[in-house]
Amino acid sequence: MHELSIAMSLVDIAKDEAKKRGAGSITEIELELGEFCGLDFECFNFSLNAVLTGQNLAKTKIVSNIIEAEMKCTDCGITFRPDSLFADCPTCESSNTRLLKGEELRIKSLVIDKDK
Amino acid sequence: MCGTCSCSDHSKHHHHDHDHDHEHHHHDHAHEHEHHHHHHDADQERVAVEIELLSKNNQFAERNKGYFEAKEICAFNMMSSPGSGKTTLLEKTVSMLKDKYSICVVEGDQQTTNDADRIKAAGAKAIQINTGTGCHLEAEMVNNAVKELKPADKSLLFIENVGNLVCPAMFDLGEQYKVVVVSTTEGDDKPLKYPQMFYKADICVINKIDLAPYLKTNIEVLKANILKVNHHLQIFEVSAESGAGMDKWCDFLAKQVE
Repeated sequence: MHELSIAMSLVDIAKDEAKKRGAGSITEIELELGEFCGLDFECFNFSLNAVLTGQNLAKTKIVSNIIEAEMKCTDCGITFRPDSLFADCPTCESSNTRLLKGEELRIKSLVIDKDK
Repeated sequence: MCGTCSCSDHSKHHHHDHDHDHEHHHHDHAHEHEHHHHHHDADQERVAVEIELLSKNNQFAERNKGYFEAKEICAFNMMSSPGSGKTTLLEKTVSMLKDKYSICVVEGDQQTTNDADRIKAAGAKAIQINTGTGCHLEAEMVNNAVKELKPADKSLLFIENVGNLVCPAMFDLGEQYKVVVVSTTEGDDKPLKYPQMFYKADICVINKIDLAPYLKTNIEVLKANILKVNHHLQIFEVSAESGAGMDKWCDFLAKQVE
């Protein structure tokens, strides 16, 4: 259940950031999640709903931008979209690959309500 | 292990519309670029945040790391599924190295102090963290445990994570090395089934090699699968029970604090 603990820290961070900016409420939380970020998205959404409801943020909208994974072959140098963390290079079949994108796990932006 | 986090078939989880307007825009091939960035309400403002969701854990991990560096403590985050033999590996390691080096162990389990008791009996300082229902250790827990343990300068510190091959991979604890322990009794395709853990690890210890002749597990296939996920992994083959391969593992550990 690391999804729940990450959902809790997400809401804590969003509330802190909104408070720092003098906001009364949070209308939207925009996330960037890599497709290999290590979260089960269904479980994460379930956890996030529960945490938002518990923190009186039931109306806050969550927009998740899923970032496509990108891998680089360290042998032939091409970049490609892998279907797993152990994908082989589609060109030279080497398994010496490095993940460039796809592990993102961050809050990108918030829409806050200034006047409340 | 909790059933909720053992599935991550990415092909299934792309388009969800839940309560609270959870909209997932999976950027697949043909896709539209509507990110809902246009709020025209005068009271509302979009502010860039750009904060990692794991930032609080990572801050504690950095503090731990600084403490370990200052005291020249070499810290290992030991991770595996339950029953792979982490505690037996540590018992044996402690008994082989305790006369030459100072060793401390942080034990993470949901319940009981059994593992810390075993480590203390083997001759090392140990502290037990019970995570209750938690399925992994976080850096703040380790920070508190280390304050109590007070490891000596130039010592070895083993952090035995909760037995779980999924969640602990995501949480840095400030360790120098992430070690994944996999035993021959688990089959040779474990690295492919749980790639995240093997991908994040620096070292892989294959345990229970003495049992391999009685099992369908092929150690060469297991090793190939480990390297397929992460070709940088340093592999040790041991049997903590029989002692086979333990010299090589202990030599490596000794080099880290010499």
